[in-house]
Amino acid sequence: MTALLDPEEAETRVIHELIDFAGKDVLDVGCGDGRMTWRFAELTRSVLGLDPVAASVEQARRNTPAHLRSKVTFQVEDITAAQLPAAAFDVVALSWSLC
Amino acid sequence: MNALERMWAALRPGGLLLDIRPAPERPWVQVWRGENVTMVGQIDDSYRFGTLKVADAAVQAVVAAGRVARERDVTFTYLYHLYSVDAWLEYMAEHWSSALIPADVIARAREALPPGVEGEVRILRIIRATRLRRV
Repeated sequence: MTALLDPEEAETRVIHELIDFAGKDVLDVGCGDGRMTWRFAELTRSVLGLDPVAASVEQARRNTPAHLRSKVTFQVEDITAAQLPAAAFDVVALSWSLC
Repeated sequence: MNALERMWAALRPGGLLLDIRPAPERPWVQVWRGENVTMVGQIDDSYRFGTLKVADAAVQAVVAAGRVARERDVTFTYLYHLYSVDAWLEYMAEHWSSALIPADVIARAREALPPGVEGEVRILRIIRATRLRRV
């Protein structure tokens, strides 16, 4: 392996320090290949991951563990154009999406 | 409607917005050989600073409009581990190509971690995570 990203799991620790994901409906904006989604999805009630890059979304779908398939959904969508239900999520997570 | 307004509308009242992104600081590069650490310099990714400033202003605007309240900021270090200088440069070319790596930084890294020597290059990236709550 040539690269290991955050094996210390600093990011995971921080997101769980800031948010209690248990039983929450989560909108994951800029989900990419699901790198961050998997750090909290287990605990949630549901996750909708959006990303404008189709290849990333396809990879996220492929990477979805079987036991999470019933509650994690990924869509190719740009947040600025997405038709989202109003007041439907407990948490909106933006991982490196505003930059 | 901009991105933050759409997210605000999608949140239930009292819902939380988690914003994670790099801080506007140039990442440091270290070479580790056993317990010995050499700071070889910084990556120049200042191209991103303007975008980060725009993002800060956008967040500040929704806070000022009373739509969300800033609750907590946490800053942490995100580490990249790469097991040779060439692996580091390949990673940068593939995933972080807009960043500039000064030639003297590469030279110091090669001096500190010659080919065939066991060790690693670490990139230390400062990340800021902010929790905001829909008012």
